[in-house]
Amino acid sequence: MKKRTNKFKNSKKKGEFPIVIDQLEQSVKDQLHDEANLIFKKINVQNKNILIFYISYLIDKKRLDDNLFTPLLYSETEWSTSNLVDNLPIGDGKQYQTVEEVCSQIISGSVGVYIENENEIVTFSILNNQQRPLEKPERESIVIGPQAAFSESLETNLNVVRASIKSNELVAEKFTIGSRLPTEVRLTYLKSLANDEDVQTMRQRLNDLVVDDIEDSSVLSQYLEDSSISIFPQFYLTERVDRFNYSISKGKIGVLSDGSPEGIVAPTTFFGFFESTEDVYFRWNIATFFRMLRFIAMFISFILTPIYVAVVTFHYEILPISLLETLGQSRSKVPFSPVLEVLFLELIIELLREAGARLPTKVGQTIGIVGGIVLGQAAVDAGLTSNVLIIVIAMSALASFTAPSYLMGSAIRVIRYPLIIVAGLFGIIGVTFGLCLLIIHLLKMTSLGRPYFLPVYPFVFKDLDNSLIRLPFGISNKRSISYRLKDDTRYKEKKSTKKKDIDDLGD
Amino acid sequence: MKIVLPILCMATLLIGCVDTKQIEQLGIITSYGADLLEDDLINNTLLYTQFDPDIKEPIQLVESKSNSYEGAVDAANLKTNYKLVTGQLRLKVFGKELAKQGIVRLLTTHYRDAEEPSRLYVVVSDTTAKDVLTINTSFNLSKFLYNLIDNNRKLEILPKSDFKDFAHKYADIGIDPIQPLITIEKKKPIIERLALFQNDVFVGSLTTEETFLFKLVMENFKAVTQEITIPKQPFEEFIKKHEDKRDAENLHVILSELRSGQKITLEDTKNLKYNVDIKIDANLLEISEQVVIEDEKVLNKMEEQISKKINKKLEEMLDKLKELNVDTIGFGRIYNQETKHKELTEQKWRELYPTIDVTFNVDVNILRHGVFD
Amino acid sequence: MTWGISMDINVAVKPGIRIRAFYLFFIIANIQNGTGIMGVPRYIYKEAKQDSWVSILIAGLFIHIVVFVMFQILNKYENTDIFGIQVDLFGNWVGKILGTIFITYVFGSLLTVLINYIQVVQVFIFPTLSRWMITILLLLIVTYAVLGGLRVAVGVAFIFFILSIWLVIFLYKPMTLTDFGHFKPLLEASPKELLLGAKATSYSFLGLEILFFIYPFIDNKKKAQLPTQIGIATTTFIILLVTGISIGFFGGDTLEQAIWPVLILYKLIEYTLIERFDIIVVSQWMMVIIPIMILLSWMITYGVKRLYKISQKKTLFVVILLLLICGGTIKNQYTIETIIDYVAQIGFWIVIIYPLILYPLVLIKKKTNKNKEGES
Repeated sequence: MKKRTNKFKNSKKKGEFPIVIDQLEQSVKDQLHDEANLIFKKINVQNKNILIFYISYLIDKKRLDDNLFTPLLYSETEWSTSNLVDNLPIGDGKQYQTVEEVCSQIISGSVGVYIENENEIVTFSILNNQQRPLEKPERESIVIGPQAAFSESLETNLNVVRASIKSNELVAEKFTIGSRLPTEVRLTYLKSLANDEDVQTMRQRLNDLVVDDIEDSSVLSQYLEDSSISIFPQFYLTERVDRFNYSISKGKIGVLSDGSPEGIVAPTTFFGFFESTEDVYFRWNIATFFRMLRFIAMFISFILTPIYVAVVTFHYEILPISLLETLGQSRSKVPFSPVLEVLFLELIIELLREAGARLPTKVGQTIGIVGGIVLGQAAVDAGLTSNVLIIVIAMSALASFTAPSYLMGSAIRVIRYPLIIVAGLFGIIGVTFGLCLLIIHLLKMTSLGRPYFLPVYPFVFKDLDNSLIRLPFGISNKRSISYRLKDDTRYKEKKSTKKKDIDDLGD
Repeated sequence: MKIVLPILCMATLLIGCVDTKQIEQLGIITSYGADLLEDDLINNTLLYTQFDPDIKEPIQLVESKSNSYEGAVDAANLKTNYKLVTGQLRLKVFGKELAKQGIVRLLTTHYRDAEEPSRLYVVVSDTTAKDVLTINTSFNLSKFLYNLIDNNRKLEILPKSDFKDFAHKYADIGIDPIQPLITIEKKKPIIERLALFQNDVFVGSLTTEETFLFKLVMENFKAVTQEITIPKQPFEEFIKKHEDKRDAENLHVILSELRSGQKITLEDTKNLKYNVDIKIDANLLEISEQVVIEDEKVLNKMEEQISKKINKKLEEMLDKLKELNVDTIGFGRIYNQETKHKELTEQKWRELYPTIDVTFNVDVNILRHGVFD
Repeated sequence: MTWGISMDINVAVKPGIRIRAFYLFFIIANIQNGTGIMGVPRYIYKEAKQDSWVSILIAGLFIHIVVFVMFQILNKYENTDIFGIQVDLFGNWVGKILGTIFITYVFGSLLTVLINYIQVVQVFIFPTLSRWMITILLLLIVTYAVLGGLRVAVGVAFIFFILSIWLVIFLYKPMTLTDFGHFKPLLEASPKELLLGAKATSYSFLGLEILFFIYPFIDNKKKAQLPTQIGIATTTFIILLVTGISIGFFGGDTLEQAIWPVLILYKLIEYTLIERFDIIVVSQWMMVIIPIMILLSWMITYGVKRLYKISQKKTLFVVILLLLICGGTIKNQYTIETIIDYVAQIGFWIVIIYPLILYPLVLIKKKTNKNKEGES
């Protein structure tokens, strides 16, 4: 054992080549801890001993046979390192001088080729990537528009991004993050559009990031975010290819990481989380309506239950007597205080949601129905909750699911709880207190150094288009100016059209 | 900072929270009635809504004796297992005898205390408040009474007569409040007349017909239907066939979609001469006889007769008001507004009021006379 | 140049924390329409009766002139605030004392906002709510926001102003209930009464002094005057509106008795689903006073930093602590009204009259400076 390590240490030294093939085999084996599927093939062509080694399950065997063995064995020429790279019908040939480097290539699906007594090892990447094909988005579904979601493979993801942004301006800078388990991360943006400062910030954050490994894009985004204390997501995580591309084409910065079916979009504003790509595909007026609906839904979802608590606990004067009677009658059987009642029912809804998400789809649906109808009805009958509250809770839960971003929807659902508690303590004053704190919190936040509450504060009137509302494409010829893009004109404004009379009689 | 925040949060929780008013623990008072007992004591009748799963009838009644309105609730609290609250009070009924002594002391809380509602109706009962509030009904009495006034006000039958109106007219010099008067008929509360107040003292009442006239002077009608009786004699020649055998002297004319406008001007400040111009536009809906309206003349004649009639009635009403010395129409206020630097006092106006001279000019205009000629 | 040792007259402000000039509108409109507006109709009416509207117009016009003069003063300098100007004019010692007085006044102003709101909440919503608690709630928000600096303070003023604008819109309902007879006879008040009425508005116009603090932070100073003047005009309009409706609705005696006539006006509003609008308005009013408290607190921390180079965080905590103690202990309605009255009086002289005195002094100073430069 000691001997081996010594050997291993020796082989690590620079300029360990040329080397005897057997020795190389041994040191590769050491380096890869005797991987069972590590295969070594020694061949002799034109009096040259050539060692070929690879991990069998990582590579595409057909390509190995067709493009490597066949030309190698039937060749007439004398092989050397340089003409290996040039003459073999495989791209992506790389030369290395240390065994360590070579091994790191081997484990990512390369074949190593060494010609005895040469100074370098050549590796060819013929990775046989097991990946699922592009599927329909599951988490962010929309009705109209492209239906493609990112897959777990970075290459595929880059492929689809490139496929739709056919421009040499698209930059995909490569980073490797994770000291123990490195993951490839790509920083993508449009060179001619994206703000350099933002790109530099993101690059800096990626470079400065020292972690052992990142599990997923969502983990990466948590490392990269401005404030980790906040409950709100600061980068948009999307699985939708069209949304990612749309953002990039509008000058934002995207980050893709290997093994993750989600792309990070930055910088993002609070209002951006209520934007769906569907808004772009819809006609502008309908899109505006839906967007407004989503804002209202968000507001309803975190204000409705606290208001219920406040009114039922403190402000009976506000309601008209007829409504008060219904409320009072349904409340009269309930043994808890309104706060506990609401928290109890909210908990049931959250349990249903969580159970529905964990269970297989078919069972999940059943649970939803059983929970929603049977449990709700039974709870009212048993006098655990009032039936008015069931409606209130259901409405606010429903409203919280309208957020196109699941992360934002979850954040909204969670901030409801503190609001309910302050409402139970201080009534409507407490609700206003909570709202004030919430708004100030949002005002303080930044996303990639840009204010989170753009374009409302700092107020940019022109950017209200495409954030709060959507104008017809004919009018919105400018890109968002609050991000200080390099070019904020999408197209030249049309020459002022001549005003038409009701009936144009012709000249 | 990181230490301060949790400490503050803890402190907030420790200081404790506000008194809760959970609706299921409340007895929500919706109507209040007050009657005079001897020794200035007041007998209070309170209707309240409570939510008890075991008791089917949510409306409950409680009585108490006290000197003031706040005291009434306190005293009544001892008789219920619910916490009585007044935030939803919508109706205050005053017994006739109490109203005759003045009601404002039982109402001040509504404009002095910000917590108390100011949206309520103040009515006088023809007998006692208890009689009105103890009527045994199958329906929600509080709601019934509230809607009785509310709907009639919306139908333009009653003049503006809620608490805000009362408070205003009470506070302003030279105008007196007017509030609905509730009578019990066949075990049901009805509004038969309007109670006239001198300041806050109940002194007399207006009939339904006078109410229409009063509204004519005070407010604009937008669309109301009103029956007016005029003499038959001038139209004798246009009547084809006598259909109405019962009344040989009068014609009953029904005006619909009646719109009106009014303007009161102080013509002469010294002699207190007022001019009240009233303009009425209406459709002729029905006449008790078949009067043939062939040309404008008939119509003009009819307009003239109606004007005359209304004029006369108005004068009668004013005489009645003068006699009671209540300035419900607010001539004093107009006097006050037109004269500079002459602060009108209550007493002075009571002396001046009976001497005022009011001329009514009623201009009736019939726009359409229906489908028949 | 002995005074220059301890304090620079001009302030260097990094571009990142500058604010655009148009926010001044929101800052001014917000800081003025908070506490004073709730009770102002009563005070004006006491002096000028039914001709209060004339008083308000006079006051508004006067304030426009004051703002103009303030800008004239500030424009004479490169990039400074009231502290720099005072030190420049009166020397280090006097300048700093004056600055301290100014800051003390701002603190007083801040205190009135707090205790007044506490009182309103206790009267309208929770008579039993602990003063300590609501003070803590308000101060939590203020601390959190002020820690974010001027950018957040201005943002809060901006957004909360927009979020509260509906309060004005809902005044249409009481407006329909006004009785125009209450304004008659027209123009009865004597000029003296009108001027006294105009002075009675001064508490509502306070907050103007923020210009003297915030000026160095404004990005495009040339455009700063217009939004400020529009802000003043808005305040005048709102006071006019509120007073008009109050007089029209309450008339005479009732108005003189009402402490917060404006809030009572909201009591008249009723909808099928919301029967008591005033409760909602009082809670929404928190969003009206929070920006004021934030801006005033920021002014204090900034002022102390300018004068004594004490870090803003330290000052903030001291201010918050003092407010907490005062807010928790001042209970008596009479005491509260006396404090508000004092602040209004002092504010009238410091905020509204003082700039008019300062202006000639600045002019003389600048002239002598020029002459000196010319000699040397």
